[in-house]
Amino acid sequence: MRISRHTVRNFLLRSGTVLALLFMILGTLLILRQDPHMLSAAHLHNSGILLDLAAAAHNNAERQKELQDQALAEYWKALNADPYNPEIWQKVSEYSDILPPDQRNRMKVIRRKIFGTERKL
Amino acid sequence: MKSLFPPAETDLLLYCLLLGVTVFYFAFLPVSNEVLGILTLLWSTALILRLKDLLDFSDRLKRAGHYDYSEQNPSLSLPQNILSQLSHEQYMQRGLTALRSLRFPSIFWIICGLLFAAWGTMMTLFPAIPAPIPAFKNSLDSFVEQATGVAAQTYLYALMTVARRLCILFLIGSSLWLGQSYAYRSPSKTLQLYYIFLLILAFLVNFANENFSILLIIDLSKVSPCGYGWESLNLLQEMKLAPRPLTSASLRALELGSAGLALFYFPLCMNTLSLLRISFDDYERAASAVKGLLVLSILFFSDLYLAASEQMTALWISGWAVFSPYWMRSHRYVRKK
Repeated sequence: MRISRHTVRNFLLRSGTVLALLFMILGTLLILRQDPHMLSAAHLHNSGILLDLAAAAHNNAERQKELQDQALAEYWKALNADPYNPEIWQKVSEYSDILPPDQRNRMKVIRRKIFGTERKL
Repeated sequence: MKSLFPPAETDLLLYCLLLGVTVFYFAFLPVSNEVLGILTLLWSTALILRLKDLLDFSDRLKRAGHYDYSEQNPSLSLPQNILSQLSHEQYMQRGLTALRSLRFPSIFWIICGLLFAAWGTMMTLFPAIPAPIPAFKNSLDSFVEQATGVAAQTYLYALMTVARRLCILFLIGSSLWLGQSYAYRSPSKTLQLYYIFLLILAFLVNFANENFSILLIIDLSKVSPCGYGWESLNLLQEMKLAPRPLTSASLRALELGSAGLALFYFPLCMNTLSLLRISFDDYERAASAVKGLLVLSILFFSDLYLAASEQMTALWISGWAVFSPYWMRSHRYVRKK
């Protein structure tokens, strides 16, 4: 049986349409699903603002504690959104006063590993 | 503007606008997932519209007996006369030229692109990362779960990376194929200048990268067949386990391994050889082939010597768009006398 050029062209054009439709769905998914890097950066930014506000509210201990808790919650959200965001680990020392001691120590160990100077690949 | 884009060519106008917006975005602005998703939607819409046009045109040819005449019943004389007259009509000529983008040399690019995408997806979902890294990732994940009370969705990062990279490959592939299907406009000097302006702009943006003087080119003999997956180098570079900055070719070698490099360079080399052969052919085809080789050499140079960055996507998209008309015209059918 001889396959005509029209059949081949039709097949290619229809396959292309299906492929384009699949990428349309993929594009829609990318729009709907938030970028983890950007989400992490946004939470970290909010956390930084709250930390500054807490530092400014040093006359009101209760308010300061409340702001520090909120800053820590945002910091955890940033960590959960993208644990590989290097900025989170660079800022561990800024949060060392409000981090629970055991978690602070583990974070410092992880940070050393991330920014360590081990052998190159 | 009106003479360049008559009403019948609104789809070409859409293609040029999309090309300009995409190249400018990648060259000068950070491309988030949302923006990439919107660009993918726009490009897939343009592609579907073009494919539908060509499908309609092909059906009309079928109804006119074009395929019956050329393949199944050469004795039919009426279609030959009519088609011979029609083939001098501008729209008929353009349609037939556009359908040439479905011939084997063009399909070869798409098949190679799909194979490369499949390999990259496999490497990203099942990376061949050396032993200390998965152990470190596990300890990091367990810490995140303990600290935040929610498990880290590591698999989601890999899926998002695959989706992002596939969309970028789709944009590059679409610019190449749509450029081929609009190759009938290649004599237009204004359009050529527009494409070349985009290419030079993207090249200069990449050339001006501050890392240019201290780039690291890795030893390819140490690269294993499998790689660490797309975008996996960010963490490795932070951990000082991988060098930084890297050229695009070096980054690809680490991300996708030597098999990924082979999948990437095999079609490029095959098509370069094909263009070299054509460059010794008749004058018009040779001129297009030489221009195509010039564009390919810019892309080769950038890939081997310029720093890997997001701006490189702008260069690839504009580069393939410039290349596509030359590719089509160098492979045009020449009737044997």
